[in-house]
Amino acid sequence: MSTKKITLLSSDREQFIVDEAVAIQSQTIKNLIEDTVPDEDGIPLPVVHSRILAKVTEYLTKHANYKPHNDAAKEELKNWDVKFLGKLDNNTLFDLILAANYLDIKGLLDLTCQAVADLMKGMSVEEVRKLFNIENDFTPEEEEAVRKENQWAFD
Amino acid sequence: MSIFPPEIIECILSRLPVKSLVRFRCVSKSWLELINDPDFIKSHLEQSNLSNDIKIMLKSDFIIYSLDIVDGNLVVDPHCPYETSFWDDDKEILGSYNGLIYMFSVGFNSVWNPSTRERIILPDCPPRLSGDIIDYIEASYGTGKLTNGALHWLAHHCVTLERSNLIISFDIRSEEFQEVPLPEFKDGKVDLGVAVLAVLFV
Repeated sequence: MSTKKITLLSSDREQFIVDEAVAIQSQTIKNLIEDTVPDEDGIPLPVVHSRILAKVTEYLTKHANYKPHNDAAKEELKNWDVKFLGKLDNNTLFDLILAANYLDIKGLLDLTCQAVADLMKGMSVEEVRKLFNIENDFTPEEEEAVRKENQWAFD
Repeated sequence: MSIFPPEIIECILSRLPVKSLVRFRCVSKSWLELINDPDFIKSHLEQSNLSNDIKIMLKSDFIIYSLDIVDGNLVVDPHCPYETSFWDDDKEILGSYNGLIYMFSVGFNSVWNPSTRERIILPDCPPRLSGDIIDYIEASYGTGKLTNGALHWLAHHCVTLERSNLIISFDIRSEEFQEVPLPEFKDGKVDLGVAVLAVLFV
């Protein structure tokens, strides 16, 4: 029995050939398959670089082929997710969130957002600004006032 | 470095513990606005409920302890206890809903959010409703129950002093009182208590 293959095309035009069942876990890809005539090279995903699409397909392949039926299997899949996240640097993690959001893959978005939340929860305000590249738009007086109101959270 | 659209920032922040969130109000004006937004607070609550993080509160004279259930055992949360010196000695925990605790103290009653350390003092007593025919039962908030963001009391008719067919609710968010009529009962007069089922503290 042959399974239908889908070719995905990254922003740098690298081809990723996966089973249809793997690809359609992405709602965006599913819609593209149904609604558009594919590029002869594959389905173009112009905002996802091959470096990130490789990670996305790795995640999707594992999750499509592995439907946990009991607690032990669920635990194993969870451990796989932890290992998968452990191999990512922060930049890749952030790019993966953007890709999961664009490709509409709920499981991957939940997983990566939780990973960033875990990373942040012990951070100082300054560290968080740096991590997200956020400019502090409070005046020193305003910031002091907000800090004072929420002082217990800084202890 | 990637710059995230607001919906992703919201998705990440909704997974943070409350203490981190309160601290991150200082990050920027847009974060302060997001963290204080009622819709965000609701999605944060839903996320917390998903993670099934049930806590139990225990009270001594001046301190309230928060206990986590870890592998079937009760463990004191090291980030609590909460000092409660702002209350009178004679205070009681009467109920809880969605992480809010309904407290009774001599002289006043309050709804307290231990996660953010914020609390509101409730109005003295429910005002008379329906053209003065309703008073509140047993003369105190002490018999009220907190559910669905509202406090509920059984009411009675203040002229005849008969137990009545009415529950009064006080919505904490809008600070409004409402009447909730009871159905007709077979026995005619019934003596009801108001109770909350499935209380969860997050």
